[in-house]
Amino acid sequence: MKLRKVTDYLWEIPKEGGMRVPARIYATAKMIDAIRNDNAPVQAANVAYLPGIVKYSLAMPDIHWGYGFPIGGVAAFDLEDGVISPGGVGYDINCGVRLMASRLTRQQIQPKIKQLVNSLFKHVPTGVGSRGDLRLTHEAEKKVLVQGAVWAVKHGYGTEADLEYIEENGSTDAADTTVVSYKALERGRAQLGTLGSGNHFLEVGYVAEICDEEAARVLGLELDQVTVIIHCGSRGFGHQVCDDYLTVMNRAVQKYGISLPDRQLCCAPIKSPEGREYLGAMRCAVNFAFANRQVIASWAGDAFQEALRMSPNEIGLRVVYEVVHNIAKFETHEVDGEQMKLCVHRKGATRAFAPASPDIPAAYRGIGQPVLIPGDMGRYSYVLVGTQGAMRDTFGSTCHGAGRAMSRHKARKAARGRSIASELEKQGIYVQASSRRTIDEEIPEAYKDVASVVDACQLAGISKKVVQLKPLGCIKG
Amino acid sequence: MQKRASRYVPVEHTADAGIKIFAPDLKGVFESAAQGLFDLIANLDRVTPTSRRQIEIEATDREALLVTWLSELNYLFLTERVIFKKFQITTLDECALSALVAGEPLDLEKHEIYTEVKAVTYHGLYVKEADDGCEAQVIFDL
Repeated sequence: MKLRKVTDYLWEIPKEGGMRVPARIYATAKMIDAIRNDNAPVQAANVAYLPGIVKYSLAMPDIHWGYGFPIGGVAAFDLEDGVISPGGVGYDINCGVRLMASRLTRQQIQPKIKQLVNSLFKHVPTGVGSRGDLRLTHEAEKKVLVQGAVWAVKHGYGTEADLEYIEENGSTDAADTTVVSYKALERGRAQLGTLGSGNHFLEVGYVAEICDEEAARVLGLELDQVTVIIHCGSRGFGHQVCDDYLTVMNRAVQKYGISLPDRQLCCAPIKSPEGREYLGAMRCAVNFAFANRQVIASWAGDAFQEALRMSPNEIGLRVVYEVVHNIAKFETHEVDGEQMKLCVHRKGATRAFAPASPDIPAAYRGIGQPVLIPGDMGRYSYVLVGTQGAMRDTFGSTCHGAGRAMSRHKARKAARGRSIASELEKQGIYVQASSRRTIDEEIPEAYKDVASVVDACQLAGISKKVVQLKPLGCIKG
Repeated sequence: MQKRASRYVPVEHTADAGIKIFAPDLKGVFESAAQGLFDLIANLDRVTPTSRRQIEIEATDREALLVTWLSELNYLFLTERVIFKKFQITTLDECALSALVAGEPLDLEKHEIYTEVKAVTYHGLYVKEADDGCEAQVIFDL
């Protein structure tokens, strides 16, 4: 695969064969060799074959091999002649991250971290086969699919004030429950308020370093302040929507005569019935995930109260921001000097809108949209903000995480004969998981260093570091 | 010559997991693939197949049939909470199959669950004739 250096932090795969536009990968020289060895650059080039793609098929520095689209992929399509692809969103529709801040300090929490993590593990269902306390009928579930986090607030999970600080205010419109399958409803109905397994987690941490004083002040973040990160998505509901529409799109590709280099890129014109139906169903999953994180956050609050024997006011948990990293959205961006309405696919990539954007909370318009980048269990995570560079170059997008460096199988081998939980405990990080295998598969060294990913984004000018967070404890599936 | 038994081997993949299946015939591929899926989900040594059921599947071609078969089993596990361990394909053609499967209702006290399979993907998917039978590959999104 030919990779031409554009700047020190940007590489281009020139347009060739059936590619309609070039592909561009954001990475440092040091990272690009590892990226080259993966199949991901080929996938970034494959996305450039899709009809109606605008400017570039983009990949963020945490790019790695996905299905059809690479993880870390961003692609925008013209609404007139462009396509929508479930593979460009991923199976876990609206997988995302919520960051909450508290009034507590690290010094207060550290001695009680075990009780706190155990209490979180008790209140928040994790792992395979876990079922929340919420068992919805299909009719009730459909309300969740239309209202998202608003449904959760109406039912006593959190407050109205939380919604202001969620991307899309926690609820996307034009969700269409009539195009959702029975199977998707069945998979979702016992899973609202569950974390799931794999790389999803709920972490208690603290602000370890401030990189941008002013932005940190606006976000209300101070050194040693205790924070909570929730990383999860739309659970079985979203997985099933993706699965259902891959079948629909496989047929659509033949119907509309779209030629593809990879079956998993299957898609349909945005304006076609198939395209519109997928969008309607995908938005239901987006709302499911917003509601899911809102419910989990509320239960996390209960766990804090129980473990610390403190009032909600003393604990002071509030939403700093919540981002989505697997989604397709209609957004307006400037393309060659003109404002264009586009369908932006982000798969393992985060929206990172610049200061003054009307789509971000009024309180943050001076600094840009907060972006939350979780790292592995043992090291650190980052809070960034969006920049004008992202608006200009990446349709207002940046990275979403560290990305795996080892397969799960390799990680288990590396963990053999060790107790990862005790190793982490020695570093002051207390972990609870439903399955020991999950901890082994998620060992810190199985992931790339998220700092290098975040630094690459900052150097490329597509986002800016605000604070670094370090973990104190975490629950996993 | 005696036919080899069906078997599968893991396919290394950074973010997810896959299996490659070798079997004397197509039925063997489908049975062994199901085994591979549930070995990934749970420790099957702790599962006593007590409950049986019949499954009928249709798809547009045999590759889609393999994905649909495994997706159906995963769906039944996730919604009806049964861990399947025994798989017997009773009839099979390019676009349809029927099977008898057996498993045990999920008991979180007794069973050891490893991971959740989000989906059975079309990525890198193939089913083909090999020198001494059939071979297939399927990748799971975890």
